[in-house]
Amino acid sequence: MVKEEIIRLMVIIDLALKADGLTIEAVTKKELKLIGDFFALPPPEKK
Amino acid sequence: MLPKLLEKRLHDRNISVRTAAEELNVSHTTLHRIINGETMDLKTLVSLSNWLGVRPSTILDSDANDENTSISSTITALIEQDPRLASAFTEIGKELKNGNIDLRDVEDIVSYTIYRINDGKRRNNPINGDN
Repeated sequence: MVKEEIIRLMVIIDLALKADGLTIEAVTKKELKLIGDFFALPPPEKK
Repeated sequence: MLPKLLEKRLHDRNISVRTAAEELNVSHTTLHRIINGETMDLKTLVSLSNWLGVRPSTILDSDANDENTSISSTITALIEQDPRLASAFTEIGKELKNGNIDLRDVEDIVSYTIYRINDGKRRNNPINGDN
């Protein structure tokens, strides 16, 4: 079963893509750092 | 990937597209359209994943789980391509850090994001959308 949490996050993606235009300059360094920190850890699992 | 998965499931269970559509709670024309490569909404994607017993990324067949590309670099590229995704991936990152989702879940979400972006390109440019 697809987890409810994944569905919720996919809906957030849908909503983001429907949002008004945003340029990369408007994305804050803090946001980019957070994203970098989150996805650098933990290390990818071996398949 | 999806047509092959569906074909195998229909063959294994010896059922028609119409019967499968009934089980999925979609019209058989919708299921035919999906088999022929037309895009589906999130609800249908989730139903199909559950019905086939596979992850959404398997159905979407994107390159999000390409061994040569890390998930973080794919996310970075997606945000550079469409900055509207920055806040969404911040939220997804928090859920990952909190242990509510794992990296395979993130792959599913990234696959879905690529699918949606490509769908948007096709809609805006029906002739060259795949380029």
